Parts: sequence; C-alpha cells; structure tokens
Amino acid sequence: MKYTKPLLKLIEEFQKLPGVGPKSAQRMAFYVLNQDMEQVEKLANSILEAKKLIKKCSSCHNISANDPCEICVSSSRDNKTICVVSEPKDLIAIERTNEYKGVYHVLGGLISPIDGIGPDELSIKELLGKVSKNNLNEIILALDTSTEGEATMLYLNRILSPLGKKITRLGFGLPAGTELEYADELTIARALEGRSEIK
Amino acid sequence: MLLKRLKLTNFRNIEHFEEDFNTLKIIILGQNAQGKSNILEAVNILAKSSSDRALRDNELINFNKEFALINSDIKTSDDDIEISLQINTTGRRKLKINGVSKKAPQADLIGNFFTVMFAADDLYLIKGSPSLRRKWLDSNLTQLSKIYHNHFATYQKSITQKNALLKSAFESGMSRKSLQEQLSIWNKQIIEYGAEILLQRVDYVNKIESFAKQFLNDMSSGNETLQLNYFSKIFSDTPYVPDVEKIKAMFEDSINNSFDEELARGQALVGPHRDDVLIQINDKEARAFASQGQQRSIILSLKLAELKAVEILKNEVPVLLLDDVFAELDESRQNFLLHNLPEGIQTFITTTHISDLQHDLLENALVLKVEKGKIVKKPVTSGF
Ligand SMILES: [Zn+2]
Repeated sequence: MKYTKPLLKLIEEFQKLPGVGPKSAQRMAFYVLNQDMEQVEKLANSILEAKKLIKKCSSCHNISANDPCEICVSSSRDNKTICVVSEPKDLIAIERTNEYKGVYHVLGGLISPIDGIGPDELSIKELLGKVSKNNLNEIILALDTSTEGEATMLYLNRILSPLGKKITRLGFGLPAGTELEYADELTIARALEGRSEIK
Repeated sequence: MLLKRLKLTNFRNIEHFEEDFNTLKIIILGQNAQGKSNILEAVNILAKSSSDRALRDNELINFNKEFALINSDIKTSDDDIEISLQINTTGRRKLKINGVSKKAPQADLIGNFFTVMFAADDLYLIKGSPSLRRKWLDSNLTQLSKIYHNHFATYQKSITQKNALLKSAFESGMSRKSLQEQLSIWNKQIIEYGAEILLQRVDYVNKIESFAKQFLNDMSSGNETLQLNYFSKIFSDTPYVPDVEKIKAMFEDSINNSFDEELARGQALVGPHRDDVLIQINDKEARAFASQGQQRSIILSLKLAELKAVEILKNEVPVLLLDDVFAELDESRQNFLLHNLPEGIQTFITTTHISDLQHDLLENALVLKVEKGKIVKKPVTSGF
C-alpha cells in the first residue's frame, strides 16, 4: 500500500532531519497524526518561531534572540580572551562547565574540502579582523580533535600567529577523535585548564 | 582462543543464526551465494572491525532492516569475553564488551579477538593490484594494533580531504599560494600518521617474511626461496631507516617534489596509500613469474606466517577461517596446512562439497548446512 500524499510529504521532511532514518521518520509522522490539533500547532509554531526569532550575533556568530548576544554584551565577561569553536553546540558544551569567563567566536564549521568547506566558507576573515583590531590576551582554539578539527587548528595557527598573540589549544583529557559536543563537562573543564600554547 | 558462541541477527542474508561451538572444527556447507561465507565474514569483523567484502557498513545489514547484530562469547587463554556489535544503517556502530557500552566502537573492538582469514580470493594477492596487498597488510595490522587502526583511519581521512582539495583547486583555479597554504594542513597530518604507518608496515612485512620463508622452504623441500620487500616511492632515493623522524623528513621531501604532478593529476600520489609489497620467489618477481602451483604455495606460507605472527605478538592462537579454499589446494598442500597448524586451533571451514575435505577434518566436527540464509545442523556422517 502507498502512503497518501500529505503523509508521504511529512515522512520525507522528517527524514531530512539529522540522524533520522526511514523507519523513525515513519514513526514520527504517525505520532504527529495521533496528536490533537492543539499539540500539533504548538509543535509547528515553535519551529517557526525559533526560526524567525533566532539570529546570528554579528560579533561572535553565535545564535541568539539578541544581536549582539548575551555573552558579547555581558560586562562580567573578559573580552580579551576569545575561545574559537566550530558550532554553537560546542559553545554550549563549554558554557556548561561554568569554567570559562571569556568571549567566543563561532566559525560555523570546520575546513573540509569533501564537503566543499574551505577557509572562505567559515568566519575566519571576521576572526582575523577581531584579532588584529583588539588588544587580546589569548586566543583559545577549542575544536574537535578530529582530522578536520586538527586541520582547522593548523590553518588558524598559521594565519593568526604572525599577529603575535598568545594562541592555545585545549589540553590533555581530550582523546584524539573527540567531538567536543559529546565530551562531558569535567573533561572539557580539565582540557580548558590544561590548555597549552601552540608553537 | 575460541569462539564459544555466535549469534547473528539481520547480518547480510542471515536473519537469525545462533550456535554454541563446543568443537575445534566447524564445517559450513552450502552452494554459492547461500550465505556460508557471511558467517565467516561476521567472525572476521569481530577481529578486524571491517570486512574486505564490504565497502560500507550498510552492505552488512539485511535488506530493509535498520541494523545487524553480531553477538559472541569468546574464550581467550585467560579470560572470557562477551562482545556485542551492532551495525546501524546510520553508520554509527554500537559496541558492548561484557555488557558495558564502549565510547569508541571501532577502536574498542580491536585487540579482543584474533583471526586469520584464508579465502579463495586471496590467491589474487600475488598477481593482483597493489591495493590488494595493502589491504592485506592493513587488515592484519589493524587487529594487532589499536594504534595502527587509529593512525590508519586518520591518514585515510586526510588523504580523502587532500584529494578533494586538489580536485577543487583544479576546477576553481585557486591561487597557488592559497592552495599550498591549505594543502600544508593536510600534508602535515598525512606525514605525521603516514610515517607511523610505514614504520609498522615495514616491521610487519619483515616478520611475515621470516616466518613465510621457512614455511615455503619446508613445503618445497628447500627448492623455493621467498622474499618480501616493502616498496614505497618515499625510499626511492634514500634507503629505509627505522627512524620515524627520518621517515617524516623523507616523506615531506617526497610530497614537496610531487606538488606539480599531484596538482595536475588531482590526487595525492605519495604515501602508504600508494605503496606495495614486492614478493619474489627464487629471486624472480612472483607477480610476473610465479606458476599457479607456486602462487598457491606462497599464499599458504603467508597465511601460516600470519598465524604465527598473531601467536608470537599476542600470545594467543587465532581462530582460523578457511573460506572455500580446499577446492583450490591439492592434497599435498592440504596436508602441509593441516600439519603446520598449532595444537588447539579452532577452524571454521566453508565448502560447497564435503568431498573436498579430508577425512580427518570431519572427525569431531560440527557440520552446518546453509541454504538461502537459513542454517541447519547436519549429522557428520551424511554427505559421503
Ligand atoms: Zn555574540
């Protein structure tokens, strides 16, 4: 038997979500159909609202309802220290540790030629501008220890080091191949503490 | 070591299979494409993490199912281990060892269980392309060393990225300076990990050579001499030295010298992913000169050497997987194989005809018959 068209469409849309296979997409679609209208409207509206209200902070490229974001405007943050992360979810992982008091810069990904992502596709120019303008104490590269994370750190170090600022990377505790998002708070906190200067 | 129990769920065409193995010899009978090799493949994956027969994990999963499961009980010389590996369509695996979930399903699988796989296709190892010989080295080194596995995975990723970059540079007309800047971040990792891979490969080839040489000598009553040499473009000007820093320096020179050619061809041309093992018999290149019989003798020597390498390096007798090879080996080679196996070795044998097997192989053997992915026990006396 074939699905009726609107159902097929819904399953297809769910299947585009990360980590959702055909079976799960089908389960999700039937779940939605079994809810009352009110509940379904809530779901649909929260998707639309999140998309409409959340924007990119023009300073750090984090996502927030405000521009500049809460972290960038906070007077209790040390804006002489910048922590460079790949995605907003990594920023959240670091914030959860409550250990870090500086500000951030979100690259929007990692260098990965197979995915068509080169340095120009990331907010590297903006980072370079920030670093050369401001009187910074330290730039922390907090990227995954994957092949792409390592490559991006090597690249950033290469273009940032002529500016003569202190550049560090996360220290011990993070085994090779770790995605920051999946590391627990204690591990990230230790890696922050044990960060070392890139030479 | 012994595989005491195997349970397969949705693994290729086998929807369900469960068996306790209380014997040292397990014979799996079946016509072609019925699924008998799939059982051996599953056992091999427990040791080497990947399969020579599958490019992607998806191929291992029964059609239209979300995952395949390999459950096993293993007895090592001093421990009992329960391994449960779930292979998912999403590409992320799940691994439990003794009931505990592991964070790194690929790396944590390695080092618990060891196999030597001898399949009919291995006969191409001598005359086939260099990629077959590299695969042979890589799958054996993977089961022997978690570190090798990690280095190899990172190396492969860096090569894939470098190739993509070279290709896009070619298409987009990126400036030479910008390309070199971006290439350097991949080359740095390629050299770092590639040098370690080289070092481990050369060391392994030397070990295998010394064992295999002896086996071939015995098999041929001293008439045939085997030589194995690891070949890499990196050492074309300067000879190999087992020093990782020196290898890195030579590797870097070699990559720098190949820049123009790599750019023109749009791919990485130097490194372990392009190397080879040169096999010589009586000072002649086996690839060009070995007879059919000599090829079989060489392979048999290499397989026995693989076995010995596991025994010596890991202090365990690996499980031997013989996939459709008896039809390829004459009686004297069959005898040589059987007489040179260590005592207490557990052997899984697939065959289309039970008549291809010698009588002593059937003694105390468990015989299973596979038909369209369904497996039934068979009394050993039938089939004669
Ligand atoms: Zn901000």
